[in-house]
Amino acid sequence: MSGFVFPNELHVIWTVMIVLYPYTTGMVAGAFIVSSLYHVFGITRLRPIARFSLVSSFAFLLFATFPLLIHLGHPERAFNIMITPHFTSAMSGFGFVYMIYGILVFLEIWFCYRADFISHHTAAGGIVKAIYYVLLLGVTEQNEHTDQVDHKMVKALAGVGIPVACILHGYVGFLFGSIKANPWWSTPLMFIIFIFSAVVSGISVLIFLYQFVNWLRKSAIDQDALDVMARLLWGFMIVAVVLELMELLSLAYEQTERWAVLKFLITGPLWYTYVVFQLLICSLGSFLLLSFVTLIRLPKRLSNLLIFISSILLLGQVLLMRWNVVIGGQLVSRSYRGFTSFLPGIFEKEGLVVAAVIFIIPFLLLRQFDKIFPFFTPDIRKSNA
Amino acid sequence: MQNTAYVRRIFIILLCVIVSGLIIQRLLRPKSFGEFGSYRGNSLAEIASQESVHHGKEVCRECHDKIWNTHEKDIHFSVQCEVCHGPGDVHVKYYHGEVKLISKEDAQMPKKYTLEGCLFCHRKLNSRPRTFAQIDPVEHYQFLGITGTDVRCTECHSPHEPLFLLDEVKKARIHPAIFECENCHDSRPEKGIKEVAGHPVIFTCQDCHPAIVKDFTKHKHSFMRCTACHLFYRENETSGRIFKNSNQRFCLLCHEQKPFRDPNKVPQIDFPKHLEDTASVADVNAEDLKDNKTVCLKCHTDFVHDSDLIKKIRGSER
Amino acid sequence: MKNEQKKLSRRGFIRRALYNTAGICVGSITLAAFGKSEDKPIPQMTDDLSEFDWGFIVDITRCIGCGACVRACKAENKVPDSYFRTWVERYEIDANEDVHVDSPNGALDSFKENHVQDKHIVKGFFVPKLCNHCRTSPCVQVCPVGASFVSPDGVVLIDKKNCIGCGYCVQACPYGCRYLSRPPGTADKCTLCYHRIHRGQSTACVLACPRKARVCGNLKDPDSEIRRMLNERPYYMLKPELGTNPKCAYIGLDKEVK
Repeated sequence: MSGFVFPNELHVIWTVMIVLYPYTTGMVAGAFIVSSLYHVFGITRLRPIARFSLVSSFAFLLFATFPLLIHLGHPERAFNIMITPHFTSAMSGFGFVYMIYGILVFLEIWFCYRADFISHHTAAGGIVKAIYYVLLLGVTEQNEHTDQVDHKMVKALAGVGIPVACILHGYVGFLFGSIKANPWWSTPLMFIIFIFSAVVSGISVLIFLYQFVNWLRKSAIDQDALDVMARLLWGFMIVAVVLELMELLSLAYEQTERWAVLKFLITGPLWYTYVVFQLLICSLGSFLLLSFVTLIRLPKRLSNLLIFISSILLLGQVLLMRWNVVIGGQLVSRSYRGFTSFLPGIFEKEGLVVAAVIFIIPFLLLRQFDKIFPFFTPDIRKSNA
Repeated sequence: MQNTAYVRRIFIILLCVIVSGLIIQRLLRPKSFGEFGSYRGNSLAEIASQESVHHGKEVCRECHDKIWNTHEKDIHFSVQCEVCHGPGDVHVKYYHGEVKLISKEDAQMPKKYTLEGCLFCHRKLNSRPRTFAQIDPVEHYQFLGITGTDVRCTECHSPHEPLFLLDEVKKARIHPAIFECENCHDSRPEKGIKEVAGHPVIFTCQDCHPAIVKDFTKHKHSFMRCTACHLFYRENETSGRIFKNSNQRFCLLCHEQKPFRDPNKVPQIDFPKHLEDTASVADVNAEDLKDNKTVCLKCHTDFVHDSDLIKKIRGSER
Repeated sequence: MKNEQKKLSRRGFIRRALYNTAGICVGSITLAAFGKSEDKPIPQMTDDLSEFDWGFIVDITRCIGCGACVRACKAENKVPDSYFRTWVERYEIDANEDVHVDSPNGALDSFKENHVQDKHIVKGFFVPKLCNHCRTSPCVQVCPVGASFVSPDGVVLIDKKNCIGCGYCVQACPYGCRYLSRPPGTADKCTLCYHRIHRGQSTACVLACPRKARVCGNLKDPDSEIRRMLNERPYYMLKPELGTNPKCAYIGLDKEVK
């Protein structure tokens, strides 16, 4: 603690779990939007990873609530946000949006994978066959007409899903940005910044997994899809970083009352995590790498390696951005006269080990999902789905 | 058609889930929710049913009326009993018969208070209003010749009657604001007001009470300020209350013999014995004097200022 | 035929199983819903709450920083260590107009010495702080479950049974007067001693203050002490630009106090 902070501000209450939560939902939203870029906007070059993106989004979604439940003082009352919701609060929308989005993604996956379920149903026997039968709601037929219906449903759901995904993640940004009490958080741009960096993290994790899994399985990647994703990543990351820098520039230029203390925040407690790592190494570094890859013709192996490194850098950048926003905002005192300090615990309930476990589980789950929703095999149906 | 029945089915299932969700939500919602607003109405009564821990000095009066009267008469009347003694809580409830399952020992209230306790209010701090009574313990001990290091305030001062006032404090006379040097200066300046050119003109006691001040300068206590004994309590910018302090216990604050006090700094006496020793010399009855609160002044007008002078000026007994 | 029969019975079994599961789910939830009643009724509030609008005055010109209010509040409301429903800040301003602020343990044990030892202090004062019980309180606005609310008589309270412990309200308060301690895992703050004011007692901090630096009263009562003081003395509120409409008035508020 340095300077003066209000006595209650010594305690930082939103810690590692609250950093992890927007990170996870960011990947949920980002992955979904990539999938929708194919299904709604018809970027056909993304077809090989469209189903993969969708299933990844779902896998991350299933574990999105865990950081919150661990953080809550009374997790057993978690459903109160839906039983007695107070709708002036951005947080009250969470339960409903999460449910709606979950249903939406599940439905989209269901329509997407109907053909695969049918083939599983035919091939399997016993209980597994029965389970697939229930999953198919008793209809095991597949023909051109059903394919068209499926395709239309997927397109509709993907279209509706884009704003829902944006709300699912954007509301977190709004949650922070609407806190007028906090000088670091309060900005109308926070909603947009969060969405764009969510897309960045979504594309990054998809690129990372796509390259990593195919490297593990020694199978070939679709170079076209990867190139498109890299280009999209480049574009989205530029927008995301520029938005954040514009916010900072505006603060530094207008120099209202809060700038004095925020300047100390950036050059003091947040110097390494924000300036050195988030801005210089991860943002500038990945920008240079991706510019290189996008603008200059390079041998494929080199460009793929650079893309891989950029995706890791950007995954780090988005995580650091969440850290700097969540933790950084709580370090500044509302007296504008000092800072408190924070070091994450390792083995605590909200510590780094628990965070690592919650973060890794969706990836393991994804591995199992591959068996039910095979995402790297092409869809056997003729029409695009 | 049969082969698109799944679409219909899934949306029917979805609808059932939503409807049952809404029904469950209504069922699980607490009944008093929405009674006064978007919150559980019963919580108001729940919060208001919390037990009170502090009781206030009127409750202390029920049993401790003697000390209450003493306390109420003096300057600390605005300090609640519970501020120094801790909250009444179980002690009051036990003696009110509201609580049965604790022992008498557990219902005791702490009586002792440490040096720190007094200094919570009376320590000299730069941020405290200069007109508020505050001391730096080191300076204070030095001034009084106290040689011990762990001497508690209560060895000399009584927390219940700090000024030993004879008249009730609320009836003390209102007096125009008295300005001490320390009200503006950090420490007592070397030069007096009249020795500094351009110093703001400030009323001194002499301006209104010339005869008394003239008389005072002849006596042994003339090195002290008037306000050392006639304590002045500033109530607002322009006025305050002034106290007489003719109580012998006030004199004894400085002059009572204490083991921790340097007898060479301040003349000291062993009080009850002193009365017996001097009664015969002064040709007075020691028994009569023992209960007389202004007994010191009966003999020692030489040391103060002539209280007879006051009678002559005012033309009445005081 | 045997196969089909087998298929049918399996299908039938699964269908039956699904229906049974659904039924059990609905049944148990319904039972739980009806079984879930609120706790036994507590003595209801008998006052007409709409006649009251509780306000507070902090008189900075009178505070001596003794910390009696902090100690009284801790004892009255069993506030856990290192958390504060009220505290006292000390301001020391030196000849260079540098401001030094501190609040050692919230002034629970008063102040042991001057904060600035090496400079000449030209101005100093103490500022007791507590929940401002804002009219348009941001902490009420952001509570997702309606556990943070404004009572009909103008006191911002917390429903401990409904609070999920998310901490959003703690973040939203511009005055730093809320906290989330574990245990019990719910948010907490000054309740204006709601349990005392409804028994005709004064709040614990007002009771303890030996200098009448704190005043609590009904703003709707034109004859109340608080109304009289607000009419007579100039006062200011903390952070009025945020639009919280706080009801705690500070007499003698200095520009250095945030």
